[in-house]
Amino acid sequence: MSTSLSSATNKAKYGREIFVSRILTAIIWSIVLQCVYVSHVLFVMNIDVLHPVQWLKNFYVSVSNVGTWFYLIPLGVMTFAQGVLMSKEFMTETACLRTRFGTICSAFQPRNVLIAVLNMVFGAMVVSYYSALLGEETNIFTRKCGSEHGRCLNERNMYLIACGIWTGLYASFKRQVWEVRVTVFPMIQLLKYPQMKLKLSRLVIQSFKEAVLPCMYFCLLYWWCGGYLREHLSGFLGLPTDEESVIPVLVWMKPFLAMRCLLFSAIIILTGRTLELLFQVFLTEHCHFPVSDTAGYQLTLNDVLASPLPLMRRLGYLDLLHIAERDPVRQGELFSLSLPGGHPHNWNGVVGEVLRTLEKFTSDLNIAASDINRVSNGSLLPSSPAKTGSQNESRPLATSPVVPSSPASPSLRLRNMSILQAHDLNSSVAANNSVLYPAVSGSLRQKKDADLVAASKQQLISFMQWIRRKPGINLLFGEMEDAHARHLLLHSQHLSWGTQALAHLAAASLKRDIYGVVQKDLPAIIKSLVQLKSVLERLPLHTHKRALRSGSLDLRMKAALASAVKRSLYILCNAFGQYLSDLPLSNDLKHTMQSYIAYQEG
Amino acid sequence: MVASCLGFPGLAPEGHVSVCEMDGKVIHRPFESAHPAEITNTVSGYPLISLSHDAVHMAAREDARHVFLHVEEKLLKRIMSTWYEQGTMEALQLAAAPSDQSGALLRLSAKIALKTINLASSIVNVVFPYFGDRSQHIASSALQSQPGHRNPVRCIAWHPHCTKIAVGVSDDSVRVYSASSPGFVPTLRSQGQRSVSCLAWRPYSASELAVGCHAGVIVWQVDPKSVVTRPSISCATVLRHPGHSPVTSIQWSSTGTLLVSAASGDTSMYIWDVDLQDSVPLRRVGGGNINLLSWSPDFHKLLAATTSVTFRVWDTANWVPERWRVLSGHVRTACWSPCSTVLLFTTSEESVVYALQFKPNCAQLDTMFYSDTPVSEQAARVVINLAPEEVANGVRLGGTVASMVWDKLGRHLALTFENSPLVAVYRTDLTPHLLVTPSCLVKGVSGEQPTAIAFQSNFDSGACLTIAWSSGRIQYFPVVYQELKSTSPSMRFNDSVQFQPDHSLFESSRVHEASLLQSFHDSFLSY
Repeated sequence: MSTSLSSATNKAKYGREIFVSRILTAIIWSIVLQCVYVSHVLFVMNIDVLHPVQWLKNFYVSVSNVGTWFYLIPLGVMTFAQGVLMSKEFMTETACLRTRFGTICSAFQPRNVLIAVLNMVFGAMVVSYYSALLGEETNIFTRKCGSEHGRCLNERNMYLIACGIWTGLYASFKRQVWEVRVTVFPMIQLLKYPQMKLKLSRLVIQSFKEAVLPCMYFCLLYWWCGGYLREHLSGFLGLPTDEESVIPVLVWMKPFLAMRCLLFSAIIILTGRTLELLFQVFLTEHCHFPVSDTAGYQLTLNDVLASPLPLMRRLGYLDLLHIAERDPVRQGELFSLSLPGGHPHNWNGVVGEVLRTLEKFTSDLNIAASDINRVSNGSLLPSSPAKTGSQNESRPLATSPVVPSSPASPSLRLRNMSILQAHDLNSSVAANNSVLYPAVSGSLRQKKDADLVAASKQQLISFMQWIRRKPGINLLFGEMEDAHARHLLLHSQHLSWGTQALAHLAAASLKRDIYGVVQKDLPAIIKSLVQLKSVLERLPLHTHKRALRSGSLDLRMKAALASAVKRSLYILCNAFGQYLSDLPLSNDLKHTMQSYIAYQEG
Repeated sequence: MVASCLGFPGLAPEGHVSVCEMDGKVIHRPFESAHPAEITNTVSGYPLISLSHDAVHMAAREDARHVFLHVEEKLLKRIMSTWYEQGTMEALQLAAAPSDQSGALLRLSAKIALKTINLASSIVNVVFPYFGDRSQHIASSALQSQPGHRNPVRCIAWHPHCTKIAVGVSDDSVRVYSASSPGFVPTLRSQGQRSVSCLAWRPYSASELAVGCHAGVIVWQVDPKSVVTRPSISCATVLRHPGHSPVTSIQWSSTGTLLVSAASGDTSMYIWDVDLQDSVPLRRVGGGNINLLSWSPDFHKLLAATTSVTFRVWDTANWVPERWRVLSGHVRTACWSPCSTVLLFTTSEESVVYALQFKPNCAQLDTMFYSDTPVSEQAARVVINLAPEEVANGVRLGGTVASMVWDKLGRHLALTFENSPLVAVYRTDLTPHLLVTPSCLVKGVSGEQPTAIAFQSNFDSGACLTIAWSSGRIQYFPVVYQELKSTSPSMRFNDSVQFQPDHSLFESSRVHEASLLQSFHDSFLSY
């Protein structure tokens, strides 16, 4: 017992070690890339076309200066802290946020607030560092002037530092609220250097484009309340403001300052994006996992597939696809029997875990589809009781199981429960709405007479619902009925691999599986795939009003998953062909598979 | 031993065409009665395709204005109508050189504007030769400069799993013929689909057909259940990238997950995830633009040939290329053996077929258990010497190869030549080493030239060579072995497994093909 416990602990530790080492490597490379950015900025800023030798000399002097790299250390420390905090995102599954208000609230979670604060400090530090490098006055807020103190407030630096802080806040907030934070694995496993080379050039241009908007916002903001900032800072530091250093109201009319502001903003955004890119590149690197644990402490494929870490699970699915497509040796191991005992533990573990995940995803997606259908059918706003009744009656038909002849499936049971939930919800909502239509709900009026408290509660709920339907409030607090489905689809890349891997392995089992361990699971695999495909086909995301952006990632993920499932079914049909009729499948499934065998399913 | 253009059996007599090969014997018939279905039932029900010049609509690039009568109008009105109908450049050209002498100032301004535009466009074209609208004219002119550009059929592609063939027609449409619905021919056409150069069906999919054209790659969804003969472009996914034009070669990976495209105006090849509509460019310094791609059946290697002497074989595990050079010209055609250990290729200037052998070879795959990706040998070797020879009646065979295809079982290799009306079919044997021997010559009607060839992938009874002739006729040339025709279900079962990406699957299927080998040896002995 203690041996198995220590083995499990060792495996969990080993799994975490993989992650930690990759994250640390990514952070270190991010700091190294910062040095590269500094060199490039120095090279560009020292540009002197008429005197190229002087240009190179200045560049060399700047680069060889110890201070240049010494003052980079605080920036490196900040990057490290940011990286550690951001890496937590990859360790946990992100929750589905159904309202926009929830999305905004998520930006104010302690960790996100800390990231934002770090980003703001980082912004200020970047501006100070680069200003010093580019020959600005090293003293941050003061400059020599003709006042009685001899020094005045350097509003130019203050402006740039405030711009850096603003950009840090803006980038952090934008990332938390507006951007879809999903780790999408690359379609091909390039080496890390070509990947970085390919993406960094795009990233630099993208960063400059992204920096334009926050700079413009900042100009407006400074125009609006820059005077207050200047006065307060001047009072706080006890420094006067001289007329020479004061930035005119239309600060954006000063092109040099605006360019500096844009450059620094772009560097801040670029640094953050580089860190994200490095995480993406390092964490999505393919990892080979042994199929069976011969040493007793190794992390096997089965362990990885059932790992609590979402990214680790995906690495497992990626490796499973790799085994299925191009690794005959490990395929043989997968189909082998245990010694002693002669049980196909390896295969059972893999197929059990993948099928369980597929079933869960199918049932979740089914519930999400029911939610969308419920709202899009308008059952929350019944025009009349008769219509409501008819809709409620038709509900089970709309969400009826795909294969009614096999009600024993757990996914189908879940689906039926969702129908009941939807039914109950509709009933309750209809009851609530009926208060608004007293002429058509006599029973509630009797209730109201009987119990005034309950009726007032109903009124309150109805009022709240009425409030929620108001345009502005609905935008913020209204539940996005397709949010769950989109969330599920966004995190479905590993399922595409899982379905294809099962299909390829089943096809390969014809030659490799000498013990016939795969054959018994073929009906379950086919059933899962067909169920998933039918749910995907019924998902009405493409007709939904929020699907106007046809190129959105969730819709593309849906297309990829649907295509993968269809391809998997064709792989099975291509391999087994006419023999599928010998499998214990339901008639519906047999009928469905016939169209695949005849290549008639588009 | 190096094969040559000699050693083929006699050509079909005058007025006769080659119909099929039955158990090693080529059968010729007069053209009027040349129906392979009368000799063998292996191609019965196949769609009869004949695209005459009249049936093919005029290509969009061809100018139809000459059919209208000329009407005299005022210069300004003529310029306005020209600008409206044909564009700014044509309007400027008209203004710069009007038929009458009116509008001297206008003429001078137009001349200056034209010179400026031409100068700018020539600079752009030097830097990006295939960039912008002018590239289409370049591509069109390049296409028209090819011999036989007016042939009705440009390219053909068999569906990998069912009897369905896509035909790229010279009017820039693609027609899909299916044995299951002979009278129903979906025609894929869109405004952006110009200069169609290549087609590829997606493996493990009934409906997806990728079309390489000037604009990029268009992946059509040809739903088998649909009854629409002109599917809308909304049924298609357009994959394009600035500078990646005109697309000259596309290939799906054997698993159907990835599509790779090459454009003759681009030094990068693009790997596409069609469903996610995402792409990754791959390029290496040197070699020039990529014009030919070929993915090995086991998905491990990808050939990318450039327009120079360089070609690369990419290892798809980590996408690192192996660089190769040919003596002269560039690699024009290439094909992989079914076990992905032999790459045959021809060049644009040499009359030979080279073989690049990877280790382990097919025979070693049979006997040993290899887990590593095959590695190539030090040099490619010549396996067929195609020096032109007179085969019969003054008909010459050989020269530089126009196209080369290898059947799915690796038994037959078909070649067409630039200056020969014949299709040469060689028998190939991969165990213990690659052995190539002449099999037969396929001849069309007098005056016909082969324009495109392909082997059907799911032909159980041997191999079905499909030839598109310059007349627009598409011929099925089945190479049938009676023993294969009476194959038991278990044999079909083995064939289906050969689609699987791991080359080890080929290993055991070959054991079951011992009887096939025997029949082939018998055929060899009959010569």
